[in-house]
Amino acid sequence: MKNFLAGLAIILLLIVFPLQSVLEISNERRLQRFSDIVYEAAQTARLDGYFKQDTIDKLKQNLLYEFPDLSESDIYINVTTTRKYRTYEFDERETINYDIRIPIRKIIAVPAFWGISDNDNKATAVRSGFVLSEVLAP
Amino acid sequence: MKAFLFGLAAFIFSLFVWLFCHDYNLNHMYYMQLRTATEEASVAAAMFIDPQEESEGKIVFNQEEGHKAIRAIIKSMLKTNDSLIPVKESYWQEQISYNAYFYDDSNTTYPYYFTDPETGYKFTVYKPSVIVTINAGRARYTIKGVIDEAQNVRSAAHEIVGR
Repeated sequence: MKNFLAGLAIILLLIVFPLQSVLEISNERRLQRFSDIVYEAAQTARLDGYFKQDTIDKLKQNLLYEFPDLSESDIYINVTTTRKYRTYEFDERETINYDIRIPIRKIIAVPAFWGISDNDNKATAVRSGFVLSEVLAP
Repeated sequence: MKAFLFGLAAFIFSLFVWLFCHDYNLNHMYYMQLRTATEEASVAAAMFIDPQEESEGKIVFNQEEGHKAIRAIIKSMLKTNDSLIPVKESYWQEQISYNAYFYDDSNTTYPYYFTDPETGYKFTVYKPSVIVTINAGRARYTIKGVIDEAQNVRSAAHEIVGR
């Protein structure tokens, strides 16, 4: 009986690690899908010269569809919404910038085990950068 | 006592296994981001064409502007300073280096068979293209000496089509 109880305690202690690995793989998949959605929107913006309202709406729609736990207010979007043009010299003023963020609500599988509160058990996924416009100057 | 020691050993072993998996997954994620950054860098470099040559029907890259664009992409996407040294928020920890290869109407007989000396990446240049290889250095591994010496290097090419 003593051995059984000791074994049970060990199993409970060790179960934390596979659970954490599973959560991390799941979060990584989530981040990869998030990156793909942002990448698609950025490529559309490159062709249009800026993030059109349609592109922003589609980006939101795709994020909400892919991650049903998100609400619209969870998504942070700060993108260039004025038209930029293709230039012959690199000019930072003509870049189409994007900064898109979504929350990740669980980063530790068993937070109580490590003494982490639910409030601290979260992170923000950020994809930011720029693309250059393909639109020729008039 | 024996059960306790066995439990402790199993816990420590599991912790090490998990740490390795955690670092490996994190590296994989940032390696995928490095791929995107390399693709973006090759696209950005290919955007700058000599207008005079263009007016004569040739595509010749403006390499100086291309390099500026590549550096700006690296700075923005991999979070570095102007010297391409990663800042505090970056995952990367070593100075980032890159090579850019510009193949255009001024210096290439098509098709040209390109093989990257760093990555072995093969690309057949049929049209003006820019190939960029970024070396982001070693990954962050808590357990040293397993696979942490491997360099994170990616190559990408962008070809000008439709002319």
